[in-house]
Amino acid sequence: MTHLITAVAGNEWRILVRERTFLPGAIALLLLLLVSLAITLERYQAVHEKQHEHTARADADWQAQPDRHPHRVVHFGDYAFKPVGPLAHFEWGVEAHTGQSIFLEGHRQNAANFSDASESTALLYFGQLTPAFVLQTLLPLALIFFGYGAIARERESGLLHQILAGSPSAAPLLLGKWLALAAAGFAALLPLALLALVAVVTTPEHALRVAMMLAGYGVYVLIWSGLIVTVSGLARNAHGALLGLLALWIVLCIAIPRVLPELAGQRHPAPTHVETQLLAEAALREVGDSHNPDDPYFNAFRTQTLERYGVERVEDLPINYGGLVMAEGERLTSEAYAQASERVFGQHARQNLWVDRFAVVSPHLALLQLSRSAAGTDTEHYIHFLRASEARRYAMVQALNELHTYEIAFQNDRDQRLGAAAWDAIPRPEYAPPDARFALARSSGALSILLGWLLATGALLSWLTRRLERAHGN
Amino acid sequence: MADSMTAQACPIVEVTNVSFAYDSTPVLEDISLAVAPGSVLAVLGGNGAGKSTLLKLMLGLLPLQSGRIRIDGVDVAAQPDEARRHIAYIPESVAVYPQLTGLENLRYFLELAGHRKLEDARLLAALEEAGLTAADGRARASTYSKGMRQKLIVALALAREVPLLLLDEPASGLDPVATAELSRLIRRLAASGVATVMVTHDLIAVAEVADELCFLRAGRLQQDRQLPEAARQDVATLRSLYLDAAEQA
Amino acid sequence: MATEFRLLLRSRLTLAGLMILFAAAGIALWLGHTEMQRQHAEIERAAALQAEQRTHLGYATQDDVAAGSVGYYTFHEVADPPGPWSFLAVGNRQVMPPVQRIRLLGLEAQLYEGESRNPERAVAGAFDFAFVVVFLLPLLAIALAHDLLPGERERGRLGLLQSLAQAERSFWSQRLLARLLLLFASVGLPLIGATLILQRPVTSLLALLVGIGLYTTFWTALAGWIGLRWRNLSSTASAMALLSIWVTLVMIAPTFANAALARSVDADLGGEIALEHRRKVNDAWDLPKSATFEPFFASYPEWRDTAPVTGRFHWKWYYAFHHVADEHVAPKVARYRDALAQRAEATRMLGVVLPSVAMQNLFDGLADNGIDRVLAQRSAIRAFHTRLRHHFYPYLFDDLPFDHSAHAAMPSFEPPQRTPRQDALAWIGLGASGLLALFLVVRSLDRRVRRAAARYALR
Ligand SMILES: Nc1ncnc2c1ncn2[C@@H]1O[C@H](COP(=O)(O)OP(=O)(O)O)[C@@H](O)[C@H]1O
Ligand SMILES: [Mg+2]
Repeated sequence: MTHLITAVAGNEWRILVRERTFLPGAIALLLLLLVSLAITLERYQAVHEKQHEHTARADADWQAQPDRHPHRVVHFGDYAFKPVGPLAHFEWGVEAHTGQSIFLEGHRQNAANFSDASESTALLYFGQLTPAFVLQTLLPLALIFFGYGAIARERESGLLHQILAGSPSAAPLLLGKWLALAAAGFAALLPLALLALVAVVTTPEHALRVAMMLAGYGVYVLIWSGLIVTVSGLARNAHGALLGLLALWIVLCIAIPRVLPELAGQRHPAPTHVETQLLAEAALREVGDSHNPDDPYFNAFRTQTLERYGVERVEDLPINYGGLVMAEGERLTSEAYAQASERVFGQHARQNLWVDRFAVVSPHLALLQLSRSAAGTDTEHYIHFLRASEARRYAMVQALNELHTYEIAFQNDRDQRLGAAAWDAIPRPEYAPPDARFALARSSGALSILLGWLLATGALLSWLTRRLERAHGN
Repeated sequence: MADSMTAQACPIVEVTNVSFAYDSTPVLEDISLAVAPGSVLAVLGGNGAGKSTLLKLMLGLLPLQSGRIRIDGVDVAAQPDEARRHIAYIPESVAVYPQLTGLENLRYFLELAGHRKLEDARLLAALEEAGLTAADGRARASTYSKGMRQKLIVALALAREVPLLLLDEPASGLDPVATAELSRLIRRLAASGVATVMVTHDLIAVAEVADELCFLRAGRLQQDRQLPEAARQDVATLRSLYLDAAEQA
Repeated sequence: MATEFRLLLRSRLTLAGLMILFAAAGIALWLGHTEMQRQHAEIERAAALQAEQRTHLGYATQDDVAAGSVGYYTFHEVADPPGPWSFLAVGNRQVMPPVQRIRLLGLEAQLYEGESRNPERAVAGAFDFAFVVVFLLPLLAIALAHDLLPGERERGRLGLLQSLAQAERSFWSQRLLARLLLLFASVGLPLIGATLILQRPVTSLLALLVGIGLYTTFWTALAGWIGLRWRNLSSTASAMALLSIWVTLVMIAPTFANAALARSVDADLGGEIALEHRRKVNDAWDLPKSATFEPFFASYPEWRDTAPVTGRFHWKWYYAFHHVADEHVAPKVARYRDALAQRAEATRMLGVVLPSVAMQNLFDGLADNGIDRVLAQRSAIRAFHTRLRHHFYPYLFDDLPFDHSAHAAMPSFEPPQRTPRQDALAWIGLGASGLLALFLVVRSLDRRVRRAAARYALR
């Protein structure tokens, strides 16, 4: 049986390669892959350089600060960068829209970040030429061109009947055609595999992500090849097969990936940035206002502090009460803003979850999720970055407030300064992207959807086998 | 029965010294023939002999490379549209629009041919003459058999009332009854003065209808032959005629 | 002609395709409209919350507050409400904030505040009417017209048709026209309906319909032409060739151009502007006051002779160094703006050669949600911020109390006018491509008539 299948597959492969459409199609696909890779590499080269430059400059600025009051440093701010993972070269995901940097300063969150999206012209709405786009969207199209006639044309010419009438089963023929077409698809995955290899060698911790990604694309190719052979077997003629497959491609790869996120956005609307801020500020008003001398919350805070140290007046405290108030104020604002942004993140997660659930209807959508998740360029990873940056910001500000509390005297607070050496001790950890387990939940969900599609495709093919056998009198 | 005299008098089809090659593959060489009104000419030839090519040349659908063709006095090369106005062509594979009814097909084709708004009665009469009922005419063509489709095109030819009928393999795919019906129809038309050219490789179909017979072999036309009366009844005689012609070529 | 329509509409597949296009256009219009409604509501909600915050601050009723405090704590919402046609093409509205907040502090640190949209939704791209027309309409044009001639041949009707047709040219052109009209109606009717329901100006609608008509003509004629020109082409080969053209025109060429544009026109200045502004402001705290006032008075000599700042802090010093920081980054800001404008210009130029981009640009011009709008909005905000500063300066520099009348006289932001912008280059691109495709069709038909070039068409 297996030798039969490989023999058929070999023969089919020969036929496929001699197909008139194969050579131009394959060359076009290869060129597109190379061009998109070149664009990616260049873009990320630029991002790398920019990040280096900005990091170096931010570091230098940080260290070059003169003697200052710690609260000045709170406002001085800092930059956090999301490093470009090796797989991000292949799959940009949301990064063109989010940018890879964020400014951190006291009292505020998620200040300006500059992304390609906000600076793009109408051209961006045509999509982006990334290697992932070529493989996710254009590769199926190429496979359709190569394979739509796989069975339909042989049926038209009567060859199918001739072959099937003389063989005990249609299975080897169908499997052979499936494998031959899939082999063409796998060939297109080679650049990805090479990149993956490089990624695994240079950063072994990415092995799991790479494996998920390769598995996803492999299954995707198998799914499309199977669908193509199936439709080709069902269609009355080659023309019908081609039109049917093109319609399928348009629905699965063009329409659904655009419509679903749109509907998700309508179902789970997220508040605007300004509204989030205003709501957080309103919530803060309820808690307390550190600038108001009669504020009940901060009066209570003062009483507590005085009791803790067993003194009567803030001037008698062994520490700087001003710093304590700053720290408490920062704690409150951060909490309020964090709650507000968590609400937004929650809505985004709900939107994505809604879309994820519907990925069942389109393997393309499932692959998008898998690919972005594994590459670390989906919304989840971006939110992880935002949360980590917020944690870093909070730690930095509170460390400065601590300096304020312990190193600055209460009297004449504003006129005092600390030596620049103090800033070195402030934590400024570089962002550490999460390990592969972080991506596992989403990407394995997507992978199981893809595997479900693969099973369904297999079932379709075996049904087609029986149908063909019946039709041709075995 | 028309004789060769009338053919010389005022032929409907006049093909003179026509040669034709697809790219550099010669198909027809120095063909000449003439068909008089009311006469039925059968051109016999094997697969790939160039029969269909000859018809397309007459229709002006292929460019004339040398020689000259006149239809009812109109030079095909100069005025192909005008020449086609005089021809009803029934192609080898008859296909119509399955989405439309028989009548709708008929009316559409007639409009294409430049006939404005023929009344239904005339169309129904044409259908009936071609062997289709009014009910057939109102049914979608997707329900038609091959024979019915051909009758529809025959009805088209009848409704157009042209002086020349070109038939490409008229009997292919038809059962003997349908073939016989078609033959009767052609004879009836011939009686009313319509000239017919049919090209075929089917000897039996020819036997009943053709007044004249010629053989297309290796691109050349064997000289016109009057069909011996005996051959009408006897297939074996016909076959020998056919094979004779093959040898001569 | 009636029969041509009947032929098309009686084919179940064709009808289904047209219905899907019709429905997609309707849904896209509805989605675009609800999105714009949502943005209106977002703007209103933000305005209400902002008003509430101002009430809570209570400056409006106080007569003795320091102008500096009012400037510091009072936010002004600056909205960019959707225009009358914004629902057609969502454009940058997908990523830009519909409403921002501005206060008296340095503008360049506030201006580029982003919007917290779900990035995954943004990368997917909007499903708006422009998408339906630019992407989906050509696909249906291809589906309807790719087998115009090949289909007739493959179904064995070509010979008969050609033997009948009096003028082949008018026959095929009628067939194409029927397809064109049906396609046009499938997107045009929903658009007209939406325009009437939403009561939008009819003149703009007509112009847009002409543009869509040209784009439809381009694709339908192109699809028909392939089969008419190469008469041996099978319908499958024709479909593949056309789909390759489609992929090139709507996917590969624009995305490639976008990448090239991002590379050649470096607009990556936003981050630098923010960073430099921040540093300038921070440094000012530790520098002598003169380092702020020298450059400030150079721009505003009228305040030079006001009382000098002697203490550690004074609001007028604070706002002065914020303004000086704005002035410091001004050249970079100008470069940034020019780079963006240059990109917009390059995109318009691209419309001359790519009909897909021209169509998108035409939508963009009408919907006015593109980079041009972003730039217009930014300069309007800049002007507003200047008015705001000028309103505050007398109170700051002359140490006047900011009483309720001063509060009431604070300027408020008006979004920039939308002047319908006709993108001449888009018209050139659409007109040229539509006419070219028509010319090709006509020529392929003429040639057939004149020289009977279809030597091999009837096999
Ligand atoms: N479009 C074409 N291009 C090239 N060769 C053709 C074409 N059509 C027909 N031929 C060749 O010309 C010869 C005559 O064809 P045709 O007239 O169709 O033969 P038949 O007598 O069977 O109708 C055949 O050998 C055929 O292969
Ligand atoms: Mg023939």
